[in-house]
Amino acid sequence: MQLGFKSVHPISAFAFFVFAFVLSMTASHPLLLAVSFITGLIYDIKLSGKKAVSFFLKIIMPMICLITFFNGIFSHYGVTVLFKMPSGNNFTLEALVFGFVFSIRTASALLWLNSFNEIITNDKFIFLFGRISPKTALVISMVLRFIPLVRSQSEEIKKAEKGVGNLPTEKDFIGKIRHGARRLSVLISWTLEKGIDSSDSMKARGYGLHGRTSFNSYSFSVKDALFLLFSLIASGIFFFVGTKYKSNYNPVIDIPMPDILATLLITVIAFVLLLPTLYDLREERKWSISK
Amino acid sequence: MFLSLNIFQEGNYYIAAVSIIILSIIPFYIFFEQRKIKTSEIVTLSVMIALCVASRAVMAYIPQVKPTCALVIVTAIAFGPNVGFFTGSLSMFISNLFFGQGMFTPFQMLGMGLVGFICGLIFHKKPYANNKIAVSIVGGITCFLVYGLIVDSCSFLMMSTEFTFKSAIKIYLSGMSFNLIHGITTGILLFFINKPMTDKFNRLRIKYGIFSME
Repeated sequence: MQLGFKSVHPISAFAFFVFAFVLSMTASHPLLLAVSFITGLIYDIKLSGKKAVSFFLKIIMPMICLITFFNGIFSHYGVTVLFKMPSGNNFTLEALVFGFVFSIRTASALLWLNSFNEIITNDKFIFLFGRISPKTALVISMVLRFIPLVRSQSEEIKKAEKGVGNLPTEKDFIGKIRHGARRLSVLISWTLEKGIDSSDSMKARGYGLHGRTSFNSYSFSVKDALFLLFSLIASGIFFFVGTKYKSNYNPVIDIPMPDILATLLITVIAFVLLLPTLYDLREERKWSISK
Repeated sequence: MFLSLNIFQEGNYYIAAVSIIILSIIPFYIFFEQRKIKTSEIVTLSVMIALCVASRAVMAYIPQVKPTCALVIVTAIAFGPNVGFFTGSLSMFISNLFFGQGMFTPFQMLGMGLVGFICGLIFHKKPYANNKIAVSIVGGITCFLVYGLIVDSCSFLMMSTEFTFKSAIKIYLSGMSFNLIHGITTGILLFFINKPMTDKFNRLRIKYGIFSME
């Protein structure tokens, strides 16, 4: 049994991530950007702990600095000239700021993508798209089964080659290539035949007949409906806020000041983005109390 | 797609590009869904995709050799352009299931799919499909041009804020050397695997009678 946001129905979770991803890629107002970046970071750290922190320090931070820096150097739009570069081009505030905005956007999208990979596991993905295109889903799940099979068979072939005495030595480069090619060739023949075998067995068990159902262990409950509803509402709000309080960085920095309404709406968005974290925390507390 | 272009701020080309890509991939999948296809053909396809994904691991100890692209092209030549597109895009998608989906995923899917599609279009059922040199040259070039440029467009959309020709050229040039190596190794691999793979497929075709419709 999975706990927290991992136990939420795939459709709701997917809707939530699509919302979070589109928000972080399209937001232009600094408040919205900050909200999506911070909540994305919090949830990523909540999910993957130390790994997320090191990802943030090693990849996200340098990326933000680099994009901001290079945009400042290579782009010359904007009216506020900070100084002239040795090459004679203007170093403008606008380019610098927009570089920063752009990098924050990409960074928060990456952070949400990280959590997405943690939550939407392969089986959920297949469940989501299996309804729309059953054949593709079948192919995907068969491929996922064949890959470990192919790997283990490849090891078997290697062992057999070793037994015959055909393994190349460390320095024998040509021999390595020959060996790799032979292994690949044996592997392909074997897997193709194996595939025909399994298709015969599928046919024997009635694949392709009418009325096939597929197993899944997901049920749509009240909490899933709530998650879906919240994501949809938040998308609507974002659509409104994002268009009404659109910020411009080129050629002049123009950020509309948020009034009470906007602040309220952005708070709602922040709340929705924090929902998975809150939900996980609540489940964990319940769990520790019941223990 | 139009919403993201018109309503939000400029510079949201990434979302727009991804929407266009998804829209352009969909017809191929619809085609695949609607076609009457035998079970053995579905299984063979899955096997080929699995091989495309797993072959990386087999050849791992020879640096810079990635047989994925070559295998996709061979499959496309044997089974036609549409199957080629399907194999290419799905093998990229599935290898990303293992490494984690990234922002590159849709671009890789389209790129590899198109490589399969183009090679299938040029060589499928053509008398010169057995010409090793032609296959390897065309395969290498499409791999270099189509796949390389499409995937580099993603880094362009991610890294650059200024959408001018000049900044595009910069990104494409920086990816050039890597793409060139990829293209050349694919060409060389194709030169060697085209004949044996075609033999294997023909053997299957004769022995079990699959893909005889095409």
